[in-house]
Amino acid sequence: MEFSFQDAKLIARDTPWDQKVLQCISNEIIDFSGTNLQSLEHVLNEFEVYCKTQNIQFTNIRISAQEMLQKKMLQQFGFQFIESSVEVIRNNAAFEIDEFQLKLKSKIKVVDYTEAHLNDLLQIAEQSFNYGRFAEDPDIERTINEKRNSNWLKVLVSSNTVKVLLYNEAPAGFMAYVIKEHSCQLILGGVKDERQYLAPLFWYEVLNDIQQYTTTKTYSTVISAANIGVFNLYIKLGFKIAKTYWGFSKHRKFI
Amino acid sequence: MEDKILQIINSIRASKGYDPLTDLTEEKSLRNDLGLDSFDLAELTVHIEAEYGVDIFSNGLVHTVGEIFKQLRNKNN
Repeated sequence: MEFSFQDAKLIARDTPWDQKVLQCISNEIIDFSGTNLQSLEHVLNEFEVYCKTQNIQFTNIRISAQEMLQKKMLQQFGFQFIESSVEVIRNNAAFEIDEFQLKLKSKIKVVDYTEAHLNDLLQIAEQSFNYGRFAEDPDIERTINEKRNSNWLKVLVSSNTVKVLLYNEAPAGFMAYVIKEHSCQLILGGVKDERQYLAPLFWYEVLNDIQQYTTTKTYSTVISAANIGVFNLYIKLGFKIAKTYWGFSKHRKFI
Repeated sequence: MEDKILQIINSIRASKGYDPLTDLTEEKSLRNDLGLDSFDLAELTVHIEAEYGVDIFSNGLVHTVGEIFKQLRNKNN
């Protein structure tokens, strides 16, 4: 659905994947642009009326951290700040890693995903993700976030490339990514808590594999700014920060 | 053994620009108190395995200095 007034525009889409775990009708604003408060207020007001008529109880939105007018208007309409996230990018070049990581190479294997890995990966997805727009929302219970992550992984394994980290032949981590033209987007990656020290080596192996066997020229991903461990991991692998986002959500209760 | 582990941890901390520690207490968290991230933990496990032949992470998560000592003592017993 799209709302526009003067130069302001708001585009939203339904989010059945959120609805499934939140047990309420949900949507997401994917474009909220405009150059003055009055027009932004107008389209956001129309959107709120629409949400009320459609009984939409949860909305989320991610905007550039520099969009001050949007921030002001979202807060005015009861949207809560939830998380800050950053997009990190890297151009094609040899990925490097320190000698200590390389010494661990004999302990791991990186293989393509098969259905036999699914249960282990679902467990990792449920237990190892403590960051993101659901995990960092104080009004969303942890079990809902766990369920969302496992649902998300089921979708990812069916529609994207997934590499699996094996330690002692058992799955200890995964990385889902998609390559479009010459760009690789890392969608979701995680490692079991007890094997986190293998994460840098796993990432390095996956990225080098992509570089070696595809024509990828750029790599990018969006991570929570609160996820300091993974943030440092990408920095050490040579990624640069491209953009900072602010995520907001609104939980509505209609009588 | 405690002195050797202190030396290893201090060498890792030095590469991050952290001040050396004068002693290690068993309850110290590797991540929160000593400031080690996953890269550092990888370096730690490689050093310890080279010195003692023990993979400290082979049986699961290691949070504290005391858990490292315990694994090394178990190996010696």
